[in-house]
Amino acid sequence: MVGDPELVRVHIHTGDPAGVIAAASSRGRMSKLKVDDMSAQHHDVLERADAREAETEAAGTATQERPQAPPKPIGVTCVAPGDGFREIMGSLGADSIVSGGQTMNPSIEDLLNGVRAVNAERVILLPNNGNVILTAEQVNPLAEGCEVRVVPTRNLPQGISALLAFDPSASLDENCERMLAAIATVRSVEVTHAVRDTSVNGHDIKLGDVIAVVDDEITEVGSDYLAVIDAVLRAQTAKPELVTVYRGQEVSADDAEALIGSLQTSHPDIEFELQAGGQEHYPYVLSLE
Amino acid sequence: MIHLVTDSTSDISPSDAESLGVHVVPLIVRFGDEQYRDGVDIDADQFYAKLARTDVHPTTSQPSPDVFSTLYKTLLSDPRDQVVGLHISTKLSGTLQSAMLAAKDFDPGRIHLVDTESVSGGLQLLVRAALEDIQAGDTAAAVAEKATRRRSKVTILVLLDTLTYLHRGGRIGRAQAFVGSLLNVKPLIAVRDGEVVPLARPRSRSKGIEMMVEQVRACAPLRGLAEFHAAAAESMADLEGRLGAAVSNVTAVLGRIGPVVGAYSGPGGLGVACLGAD
Repeated sequence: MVGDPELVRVHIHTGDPAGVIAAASSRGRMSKLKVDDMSAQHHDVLERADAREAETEAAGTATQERPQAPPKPIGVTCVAPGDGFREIMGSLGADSIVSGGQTMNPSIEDLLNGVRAVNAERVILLPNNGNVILTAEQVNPLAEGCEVRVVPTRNLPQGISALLAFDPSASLDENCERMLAAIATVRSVEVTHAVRDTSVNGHDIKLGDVIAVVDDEITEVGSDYLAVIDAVLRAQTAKPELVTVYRGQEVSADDAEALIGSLQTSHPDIEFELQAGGQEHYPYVLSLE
Repeated sequence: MIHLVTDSTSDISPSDAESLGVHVVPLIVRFGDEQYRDGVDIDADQFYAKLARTDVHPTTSQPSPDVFSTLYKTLLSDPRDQVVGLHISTKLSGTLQSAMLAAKDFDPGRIHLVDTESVSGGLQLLVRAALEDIQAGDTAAAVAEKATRRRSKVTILVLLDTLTYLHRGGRIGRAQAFVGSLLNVKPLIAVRDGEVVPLARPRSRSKGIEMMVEQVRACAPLRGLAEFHAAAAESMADLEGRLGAAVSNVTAVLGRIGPVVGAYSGPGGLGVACLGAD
């Protein structure tokens, strides 16, 4: 602060500039006023430091090992096939994601590495496939210093619902309870093609037929995606409010949008959401909520 | 006489404030260079209409100490009178600090200020309960003390359409964990101990409203219930219907999320607040 009895120049650091200005204006007339956001400057500095660190690492010149951050209390590892599902699960807060799914089940070691990558004292493991649950259950005894709990999600829609219910501030027990409750409210529909002639649940299935697997059971068989998915939706006794459609690797965005357009016309009460799942073998995976 | 003062984040409508005899100090909402006193120069309808038309993100600021000083001088002109001020959580706004600065110029003991750790419908329920205490003949100190004790019995839940406004406004707190979802979710947040915390990520409004009703039911027995919306009349009707069926012993206060709080909830926000019995 500098000045004389008539005029002062004051430099103030504050978290509340508006309050300072209000207080100053109550004491006299302000002739010059300049406000700078120091927190923005601070962030710039931190960002530049991060960028430098990233460059150093990329150049391979980092000689000192960075101390590992202290483990967080609780984290989540997910198993997911396809870039789309991996990105979605990451955006919902999964700490690590292990590649895998139908016909490419991850090993115990893959899962263990996924759990270790979380760096947490307790990790919830979401297998997201009926065939991965048993493997997942063998991880806990091997994960030294980390308690691993498996919430037995049998498919990707269940995995997403479980992840949405995750609360990092809640305990392991509470989280498992929340996740189990969440997966009970979602129905999974996996649409694929028959790989051979067969007969299941009274359906005669020919090689190449479109089949819908609803929560582990083949319920509809047909010749095209639209008819089969439409039949699945009509067969629901509890009408879903929201259907999320995850298109697989082999389905274009245009085709998927056209399919949803038709479904929306015949099911005006349902909200449809399209996501790129990127999964193999299943052109469409749907979650019904 | 005891005068009750609150601020515009209580979302008390001007007509309710008048009939209840509460003095409401407006916060300020700004769109760039344009500035408006919350509830005085701009109401909820005008604010959301403006928000829909502009790309400018609204900002807010607390009332200046001068505004409080002027009000306190008027209210305390009779030396026997006292003021109880119930204000928005200090973790969300500097309003209480302005009030405290202004109160320094008065005799200690004439102005009793409370950080309600609350906002919107929650703050309003505390104001209404304090008015009942005043009517019952409590002293100003007792009214303030009861309000302080009661704040832990307030539950505030808000179902949002988007976290954008909370995020940009710097009030997101731990709900930061909900940012960035690639799936369409309707974040359900709470105001707990005066700050925003994440509760759940329902995929639809209907599921979110169901969760709100469950949480309110868990707070029974209730003394007060308030339902508020930010340009979301349809969802509000849904919430009213479902809460009416679930909670029958109290009459709900219904209202709008006003401009200042709306600058953080964003349009589409739907709030419920309840106050547990003493």
